[in-house]
Amino acid sequence: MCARVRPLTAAWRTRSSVPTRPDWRVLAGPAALALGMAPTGAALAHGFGQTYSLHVPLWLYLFGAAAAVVLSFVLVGFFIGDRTAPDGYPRYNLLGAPALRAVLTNRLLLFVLRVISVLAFILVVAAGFLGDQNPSSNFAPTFVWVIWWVGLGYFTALVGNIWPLVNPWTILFNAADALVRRLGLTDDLELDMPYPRRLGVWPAVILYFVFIWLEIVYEGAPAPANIAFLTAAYSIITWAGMVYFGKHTWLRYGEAFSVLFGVFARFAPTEVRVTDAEICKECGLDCSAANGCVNCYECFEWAPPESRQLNLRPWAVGLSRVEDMTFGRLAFIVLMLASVTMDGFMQTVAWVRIESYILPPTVIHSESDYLAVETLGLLALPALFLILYYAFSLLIRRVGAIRARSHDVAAAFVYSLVPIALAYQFAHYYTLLLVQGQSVIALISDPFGWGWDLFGTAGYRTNLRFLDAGVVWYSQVALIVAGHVFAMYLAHVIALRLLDNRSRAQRSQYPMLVLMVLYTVSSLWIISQPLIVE
Amino acid sequence: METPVLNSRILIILGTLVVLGGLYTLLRPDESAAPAQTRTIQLDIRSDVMTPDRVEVARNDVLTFNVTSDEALELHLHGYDQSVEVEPGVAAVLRVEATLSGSFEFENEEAQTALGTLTVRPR
Repeated sequence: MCARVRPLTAAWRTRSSVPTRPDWRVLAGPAALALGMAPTGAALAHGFGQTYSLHVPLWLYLFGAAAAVVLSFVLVGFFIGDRTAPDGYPRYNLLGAPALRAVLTNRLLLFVLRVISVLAFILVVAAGFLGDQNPSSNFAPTFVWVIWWVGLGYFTALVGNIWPLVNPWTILFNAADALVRRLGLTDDLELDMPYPRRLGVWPAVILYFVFIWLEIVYEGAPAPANIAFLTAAYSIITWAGMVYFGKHTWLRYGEAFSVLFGVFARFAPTEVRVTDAEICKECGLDCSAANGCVNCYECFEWAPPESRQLNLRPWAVGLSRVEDMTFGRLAFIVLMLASVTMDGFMQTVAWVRIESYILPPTVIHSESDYLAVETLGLLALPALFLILYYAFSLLIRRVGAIRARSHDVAAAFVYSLVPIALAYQFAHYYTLLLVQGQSVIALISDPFGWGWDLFGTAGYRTNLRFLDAGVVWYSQVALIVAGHVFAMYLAHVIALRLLDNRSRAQRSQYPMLVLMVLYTVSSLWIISQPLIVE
Repeated sequence: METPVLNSRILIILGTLVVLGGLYTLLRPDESAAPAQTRTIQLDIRSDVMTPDRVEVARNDVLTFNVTSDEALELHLHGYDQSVEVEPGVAAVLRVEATLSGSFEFENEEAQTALGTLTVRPR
């Protein structure tokens, strides 16, 4: 059956009607138990995460692809302007206006936000373990996969990064730290062991990979008990990291979502900035910059009010800043670029063909075979992306006659691809947020699925009236093409900074143009595919 | 010096818009004419398999499903949130005004198994 119903791929998909497969539930149960998780109960997952969307028709896909190509060639000439400094974009300091400052630095407001965040965190674990195990009637799946993962991701990219303020692991860690101090048990919860520089952001890369594996490959992702178990496990890892290496060190290198939302936040139209370069040097953790540091949350926390800024800025300009791009960070970004594509690709008929080529349907395969193939796929695509990206970087270096090391060229341009991934992520998931996200209104009144009605909203029915499939099509294609334009713009800004010669900068952009068109067109192609559901 | 640059930029923008607009009108199929239809569709469910399992209509069509089944079940149409009780051997009628566009699943409500999809094309 082909229809685009389950957007979060395997997470929402039951396999039973892919005809060549055995009934995997029989096999997955023991496997999941062996992993220490509850049986997945995907039969119960039915109906969760439906968005009722239709795939984009072929003609619109072709139009989108053509538009991306036409715009690319136009923009190559159009954007070439003057060289701009990394900080050379317009900014408006919101803390400069007294009224705004009063609201934005309001302690009560922040306290309420933090209480809500911690309550939601506790509710996810409690409802996951204790509540009804049907994903549609439990608070945990909708909150984690839709409101937090999709919703907060969009908010971070479109508005700004509030994760450092509402991160429940940080809040609870700070609370525990204050408590042990008060009780006189120890004067510091952090051991502050030296963090091995070689490790870089690799802990975050690995944790992020595990997370996307759970999202894309693992069948039990919507099961409430699994969400609670995994949240608890991740909490232990995070708190252990914070205690051992220090809170800020772990947030910067190990806490996958801080790193991820940090990348999203570069697109955002807001930034926090510490204007005093001396402070940035002292607070360490790769924050030193010539004239103050941007989105260094630990520095912002320590800086005196007069050197703090909360700036409004144009969208996406943060992605043209390249500070301290290690190979680990580059790998993290490439993993992000590849995983959003893989997420959609694994729902297409093309992927089913690949899978049945590796595992011929003439033989009966166990669920772990499919798990292995999908895991390999999830490893292979980022590897392919990385190789492809490096190959194009070499090309850019050669065509532009750039003297910098090839790693530096790759490092310089990698952020410019992020808007294409963000745009695809938006196009792919916004219907999920609008449709499945609505059910949080009902779930907040009955988080455990026990028939409660705390706020009188338990009977809320999802409203679909406003979501016309035609409007969805146009907006999806428009989003992806817009992401492409942002990406092209960023690459040009970066090229001009890297090369003082305009014509060479322009020439260096032709390989980039090809790479970006490839990436954008593959995003468009996926949304034009009838997606396999069950 | 300024004016020619500005002019060429305006020309580039206009040219791009013309090219993209032309492409759009060229590629877009002509779907305007067909008025909303009233359709009767037969759905047969035999041992949890529905024939046909895919129904495609256009938005605002008025649909009458005649549903037969070899066992008693409740057929549920997601999104529209409409259901019909089907008894074996008796044709049950489900009327749907296809006012929502998109892809909607037919489901055996008690067993929670998907039986097929109703695709409603936008107009």
